[in-house]
Amino acid sequence: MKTPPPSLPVRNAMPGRIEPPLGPGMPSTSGADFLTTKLDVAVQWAQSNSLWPMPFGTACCAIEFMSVVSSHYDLARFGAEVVRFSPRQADLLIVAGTVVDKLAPVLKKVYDQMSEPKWVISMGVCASTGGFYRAYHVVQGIDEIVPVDVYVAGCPPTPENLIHGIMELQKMIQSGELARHRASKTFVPIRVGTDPDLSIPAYSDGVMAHTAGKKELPQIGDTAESELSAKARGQAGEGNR
Amino acid sequence: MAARVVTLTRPEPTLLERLYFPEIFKGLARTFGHLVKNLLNMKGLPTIQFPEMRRKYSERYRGRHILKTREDGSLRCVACYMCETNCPADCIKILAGEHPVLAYEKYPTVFEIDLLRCVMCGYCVDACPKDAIWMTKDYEMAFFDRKSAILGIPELTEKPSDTDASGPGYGYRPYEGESPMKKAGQFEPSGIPLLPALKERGLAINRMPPPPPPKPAVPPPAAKAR
Amino acid sequence: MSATLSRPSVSFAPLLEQKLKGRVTVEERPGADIATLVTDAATLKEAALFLRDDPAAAYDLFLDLASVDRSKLPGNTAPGENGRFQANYILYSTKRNEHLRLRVNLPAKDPAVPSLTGVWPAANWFEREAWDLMGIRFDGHPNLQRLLTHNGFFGHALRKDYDKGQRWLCTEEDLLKTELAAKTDDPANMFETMTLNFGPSHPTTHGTLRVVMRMDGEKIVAAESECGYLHRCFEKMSESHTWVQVIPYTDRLNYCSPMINGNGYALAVEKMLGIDVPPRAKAARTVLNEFSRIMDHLVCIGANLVDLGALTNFWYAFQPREEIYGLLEACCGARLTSSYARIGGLAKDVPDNFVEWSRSLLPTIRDRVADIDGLITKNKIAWNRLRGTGVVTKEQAIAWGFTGPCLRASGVPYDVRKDQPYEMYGDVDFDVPIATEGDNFARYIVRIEEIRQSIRIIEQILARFPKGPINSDDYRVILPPKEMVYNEMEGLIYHFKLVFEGVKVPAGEIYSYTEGANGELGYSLVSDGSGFPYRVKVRPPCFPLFAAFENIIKGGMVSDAVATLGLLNIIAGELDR
Repeated sequence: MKTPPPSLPVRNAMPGRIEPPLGPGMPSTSGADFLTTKLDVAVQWAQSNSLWPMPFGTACCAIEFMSVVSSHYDLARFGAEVVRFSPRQADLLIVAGTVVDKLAPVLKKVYDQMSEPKWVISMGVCASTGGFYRAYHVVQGIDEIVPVDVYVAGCPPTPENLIHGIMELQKMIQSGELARHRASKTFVPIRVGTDPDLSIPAYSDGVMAHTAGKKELPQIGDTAESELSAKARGQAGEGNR
Repeated sequence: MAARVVTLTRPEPTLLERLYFPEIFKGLARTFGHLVKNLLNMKGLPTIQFPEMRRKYSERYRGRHILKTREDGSLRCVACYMCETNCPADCIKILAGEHPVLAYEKYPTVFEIDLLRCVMCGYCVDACPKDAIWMTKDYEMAFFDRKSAILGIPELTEKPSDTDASGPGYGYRPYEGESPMKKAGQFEPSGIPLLPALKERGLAINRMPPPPPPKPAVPPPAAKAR
Repeated sequence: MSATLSRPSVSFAPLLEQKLKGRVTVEERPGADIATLVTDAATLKEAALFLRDDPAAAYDLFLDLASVDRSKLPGNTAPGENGRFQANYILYSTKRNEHLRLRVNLPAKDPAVPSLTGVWPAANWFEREAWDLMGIRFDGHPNLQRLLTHNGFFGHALRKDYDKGQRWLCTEEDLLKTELAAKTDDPANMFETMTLNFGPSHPTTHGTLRVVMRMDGEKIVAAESECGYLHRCFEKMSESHTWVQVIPYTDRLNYCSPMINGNGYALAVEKMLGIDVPPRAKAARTVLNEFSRIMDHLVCIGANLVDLGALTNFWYAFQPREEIYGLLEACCGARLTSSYARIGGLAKDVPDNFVEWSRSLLPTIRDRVADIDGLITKNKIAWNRLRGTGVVTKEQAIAWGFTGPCLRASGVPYDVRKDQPYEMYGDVDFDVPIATEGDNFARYIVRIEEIRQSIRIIEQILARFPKGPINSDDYRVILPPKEMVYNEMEGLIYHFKLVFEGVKVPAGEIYSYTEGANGELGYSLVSDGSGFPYRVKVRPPCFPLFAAFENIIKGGMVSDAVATLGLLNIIAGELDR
């Protein structure tokens, strides 16, 4: 991973757990405060079993999401049947389907409108990495725009796979990993494009992950390109991640 | 035998239908009919109680990939790059190395599949001329970060847990039943026992260290990222 | 196949010669392709008016505008001069049941043609798309704006010199589209009306559609719709993949009925290659097409009724869908994105119990459709919501380029399956339901009846499902069986060449069309003789439907607009590609 310029806020590159930055006045959970610890457990249990999803369905995955909520798979069994189409009433954003550049500001806005605590599931490979659309109008993974908690592979994932992803998310919530999002307040999207002067998005709040001139682009976050995608870039032309 | 054009008519509502309530009750009778039918036949409910109950997928289900092995445990893959070429998503990465066993010639030193790029189209299985890559019925693929979705040789190599009673079992594959290769008597014998004999004849030149044996079974990759 | 589809040369050629004095020439095309006329930009409008108005031609339906950048095409000797770009207008005559391609060659520098929106209103969005992606200017177009890409986009993506990976930043400001609101603005009534933004993230759009409406109370005074929020660059991606590798992409066009897309694409390439598939493959494709059509109509009706507040029907519609998924998955290995069609056949033979399995699904479909029918067709609320709303007259439907159930609901009995049968549709007996009213209710009952007719088609084919091979034995086209690959050198060579070089489709072009779930699904393919398509242009059935949406809803209520949008059944995947 390249060292980003010092002016940039850096997302913790560790793929694993991110330590929660405790807000002012928030009691430490690591102490001997028995009551609050138990309360936390209860809250986490409640949160994990009453997820209100907002399906940001754009494409094929949205059709499979319909299957997940219909009678054969019945997401209600996991306490998540209250599908809300208003982001302000939801705490789980399920991005189902390809997100293209034109839709990216919309997704960013929807995410910003959700109130904390909130989680994001990226359903399907298009939302996770762009899938096999390595093309001029497709966002190469929504983690360019919003932080993602669980990536669900498959094109589209079977309903079982999405439910599996939701169960993993429930486990994550129960283990107290709310912090992923609190830490990601400083989330900066990673960048693609051949010309850094022209193809840097400003989806994040005011911060541009942008270095002047034709320097190498900083790679921030745990989605740093693997050799694999570097290979693909070589094949498909520069800038096609 | 031909197609015929039929104009659909639209009868004006009768008085009974316009009265609203009879139709409401008819509709309610229909939905309650389903309720009663379902209550009487709880076993016939369509809901699949995942994860305790699982839908039975067919023998062609396209799930997570596995790399098949020879009898001696080495990979059947000869790093011919055909799956990589045929992959529409460019999600396979292979680096070839020279196998110390001459009979095997080539083997992959790196074989990676990015499951978060893969669209599960099965084209890699179609392309393989060596019967080396199959798919399983494993669909539980959720990850906490993008890196852990890239499976390497240790994760991809076939493990007993893939096919035992509780495992997912084979999915999309070139053939079902006996291997056509074996049927034609061409099934490649294990090469490792041949090594001493070849050495005697000066044929086995260890041009590079032998490939590491496949690592012991690791748990399935899904959601074990942490 | 090619025998049934071969079109005679242009029958009105003498008249054309007399009227336009040699400025329009007839281009000879191979049998499987449609008839082609070539003209120049100066004569285009005159020729278009002749083709529309003369009773000997009567091309009333504008189907598609396929633009080609020929600069990398071998044999195109002077790309800089006249002929780098081509605009191909695909037309259809509902009276004479014939397709026609009207072609204009355009120079590399500032390619411009007169707009045909005045001749065929359906041309409006197709011309905007060609401007956006290919950079062909249409003089006199009322609103020549970018359509599929965003406002921050530079360049024209489908030109051959555009790098397929070059992305551009899109900010929220690019989406505000002041001109959208301005167009619907009425200064005289500034205090009476308000602007309402609808989409792109709105549950009833079933995807990513956007409409900006000018409201006078509950009434829509003016509206402007916009698409492109799911523009996944299918056509550009196809150019860098082999002919076979395009098949997984076609699945994701109309993702409610993926098999139809793949089968239509395979048929188009087979026509270019001049090969025929065995009867068993034809039968299997036909059955799977019809199951896909049923699934598509069920989603359309079920999801639309949710928008109208009738949630129960959604469960009824999805239960048979899940069961059909089981069958599709047993055939191809995936529930939704099948990748099942192959050029020259299918990926694998259908499962052994295919016929019995298919037959066992039909009663469930019939029962659940009867449930929906019983709950909705005579329901007073549904009447009030659907009858008389979203009316499209016969003339409007033709002018706007409608095809499929929406055209038939307006009283035009055009169905590719009936008029130009392909696969096995010529051998089965079925009804093409039409309705004359053209309102939402008509679109609803046409779809319900089409589900029943699809069941009839499936039953007839299952009754005589052919035995024999599923795939063509031409191993230059389809992968040889594994026995050959593993054991014979010849098989391995075929296999190797197919994987590394792809199917070598002879140079040429074709417009091939099948009946998709929403209307005529056309593929305009151009091959340069290599293993990769030179140009793939899809004629998405939804595109003209959504282009006309703003006109349909004018003067109605927002709630009616929701019902109309649902029953037009706009699938964003094929709308934006």
